[in-house]
Amino acid sequence: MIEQFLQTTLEFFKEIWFQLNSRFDLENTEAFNLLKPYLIQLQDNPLYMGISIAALFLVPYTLIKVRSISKEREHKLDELMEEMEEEEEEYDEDDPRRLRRPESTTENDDDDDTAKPLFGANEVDSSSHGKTLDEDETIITDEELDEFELEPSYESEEASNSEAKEEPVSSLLAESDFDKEMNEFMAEDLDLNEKGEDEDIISQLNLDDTSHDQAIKELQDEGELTELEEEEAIPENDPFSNYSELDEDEQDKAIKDLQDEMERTINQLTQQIEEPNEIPNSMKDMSQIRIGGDATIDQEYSADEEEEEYFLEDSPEPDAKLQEVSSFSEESTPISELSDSEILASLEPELEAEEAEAKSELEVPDTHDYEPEVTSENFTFEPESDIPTNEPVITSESFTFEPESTQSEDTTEQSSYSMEPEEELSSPEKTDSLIDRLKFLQTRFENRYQPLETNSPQTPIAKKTPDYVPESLAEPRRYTRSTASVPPDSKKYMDLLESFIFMKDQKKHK
Amino acid sequence: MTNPINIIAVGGGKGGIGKSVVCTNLAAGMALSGQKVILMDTDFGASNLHALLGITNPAHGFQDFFNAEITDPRTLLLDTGISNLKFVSGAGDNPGSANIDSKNIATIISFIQRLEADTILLDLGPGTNYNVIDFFNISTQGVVMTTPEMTSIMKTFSFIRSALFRRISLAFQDFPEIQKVVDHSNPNDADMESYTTGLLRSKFAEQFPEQTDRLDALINDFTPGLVVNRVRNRKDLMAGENLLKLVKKFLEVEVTYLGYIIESDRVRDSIDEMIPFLIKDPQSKPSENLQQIIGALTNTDLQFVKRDGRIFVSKQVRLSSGWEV
Repeated sequence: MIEQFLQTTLEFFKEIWFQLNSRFDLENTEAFNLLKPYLIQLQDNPLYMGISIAALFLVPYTLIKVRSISKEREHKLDELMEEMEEEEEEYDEDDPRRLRRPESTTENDDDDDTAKPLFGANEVDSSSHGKTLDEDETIITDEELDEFELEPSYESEEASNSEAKEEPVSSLLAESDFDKEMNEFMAEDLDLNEKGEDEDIISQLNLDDTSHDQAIKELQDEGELTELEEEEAIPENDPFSNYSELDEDEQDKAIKDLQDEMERTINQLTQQIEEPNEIPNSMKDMSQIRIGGDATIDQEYSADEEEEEYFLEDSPEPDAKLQEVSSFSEESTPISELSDSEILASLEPELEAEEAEAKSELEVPDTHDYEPEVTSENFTFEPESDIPTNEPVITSESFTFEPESTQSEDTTEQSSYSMEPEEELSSPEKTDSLIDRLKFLQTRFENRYQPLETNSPQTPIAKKTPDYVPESLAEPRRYTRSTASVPPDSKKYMDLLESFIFMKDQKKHK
Repeated sequence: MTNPINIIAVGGGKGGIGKSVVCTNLAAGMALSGQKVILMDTDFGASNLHALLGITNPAHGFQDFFNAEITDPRTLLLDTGISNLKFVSGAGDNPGSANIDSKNIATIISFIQRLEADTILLDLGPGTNYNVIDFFNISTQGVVMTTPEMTSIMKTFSFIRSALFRRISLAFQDFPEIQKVVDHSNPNDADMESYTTGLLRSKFAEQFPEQTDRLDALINDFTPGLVVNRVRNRKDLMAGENLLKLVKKFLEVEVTYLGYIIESDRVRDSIDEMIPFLIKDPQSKPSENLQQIIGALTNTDLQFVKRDGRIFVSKQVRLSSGWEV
């Protein structure tokens, strides 16, 4: 039965197709020729056919269904709105059960017809509902803001009071009020910053840990990229750029260096993992910056005296700031201070020199890591007046961006493959960067027979292989088509058949 | 008075166009409709009908035709498992056995004509050699098959022409001059200019005017039927119509269009399962097509229905053709 039905359906579709084809000659169109192999495949494979038929019917059906559902809902909403309006009309103006206030109703009186379009009704209603919601939101936000208790926001309170007294106008207005309050609140913060009580505290307050970390991570990524680019740009120092051309000894040496580098990275990584993560990232970073800055200037690079002096002079300031910060995060600061004092106490000039030598021999990246922090410190404190410190993003950017520029210079000088800004990062980022570095080194090791440029996605490795195409195989062969395909209902087809049946000299039958 | 045996030969110039499959199903259908049918595989050298019927290691085959020990031809008839249908296998053919001489052909033909049945169906091999054509010409109803491809159309045309010219040649065996005109098997001794019936008629009119009537009768009596197999669309059907036009134009032969069979996986599946598709699925489209062809061949309207594994046949005899006569 089903089969008969299917066959009848098939016949029906065939008939339609025959009719269309005979009228429009569809089979000779380019589109049909394109589709033909797929159609044949469909015809051959019942699975494909089933899928295509299902798609053919299900997709429009789904669309229609979705539209009908949405229409139904709209209709229901309309009905609901109308019901509500009718109910409201029954209440008195002062009735508390009435959702809409007299003002809003009077405002909408002009438009308030029964034959009003759907969206008009929705707007009115949503405003009336939204109003109450917005009121709640403003109260909540006010409460939330009060929780911070940075400074009593009189204006906001006034605003909320005035709002409570005043009758709500619309959700939009309420929103704008809220924005206004927020702006005022922010303005107060700005004022505070301008007064110069403490820039860092404010900036830290404005910065939550996640945003800070993210900003650092982004910049770290940028730093990595620039570093890699620079590494690729100096192939003469890079033994892997022409690895295959090197002698065996040189190759061994290069591999050994790379392996050492990898070992070092792994050690750092394990150290990093073992290290307890006690301090909140942002606070730890700040503390590390100061410590690192001092240590590097004194020990290894002997930077400009002015800078040294500057940092020595300014070094109490951060401590003071830290103390202030400690009021917000009491647990974290003692550790940072302890580490400060420990390191400062242990850094005697002789030992420092020895350590520096040992470090420079063993751990090139470590000595390098402290260096950028000098500039970061420098930058953070120097341009107080120039840079608006109330914008956390800018400070964070300037905080890490500058060191990288100097850092990249150093990388070119030392031609090391280290990822410098590890020390100034918080431990998770440090770990990430170390992992990245390890990956990078591994890739380098694996691809040592090919320069790094070939690994870039723009230039595939296959390009290096010579493009040898045997000419004899690629030589074009002649093919001239004497006759084109002819539809069987044409006279040409018959002529063609005749031409195939009879020979050239057999023309007597004509 | 006994009815003459209805011999239906299914041929076609091209190989692989479904002659054997259609022949088997025609035989099965006719047998199921109540006729005593013998199906015979005359594709000597490449027989395969027994495989289509699922008969493994047939007891008798092609070589037994020439075995003097077999005196009763009924021993050659194999059971097929289908009621009313017997089968004469061509199995046992060795390499080169297709090239049997005319004497052996005559032996087989006489064997066929001695068989007792309502209908004998001959499955012919491909090509247009006389071993094939002679079997076609002994039929009371020749069925030529084609597929819609141009190559198949061409070959079927050649087959019909060969069959016709062979028929004329056999009819004028005693006229060597006529043989030169109609038998082109020896080009050096033949008049190659008469390659259509029109040219043949004019040649007869010029050289053998007294034989023209006989020639006309032979041509007019030659009315093969046409079945177009593996039809996918109307364009394919048109290919069959083109063949009819071509035959009419150059051979002046009225070919009866018996019907078509659509392209279907069911047919292929039935071959793999060694069951005629008419029995396996009598309500499928190819089976319906085949029922129409059987109806056209037997002047009946047949309808096969399968229920609970059993096949029921309803048969209505067409009387109109009889009154017309």
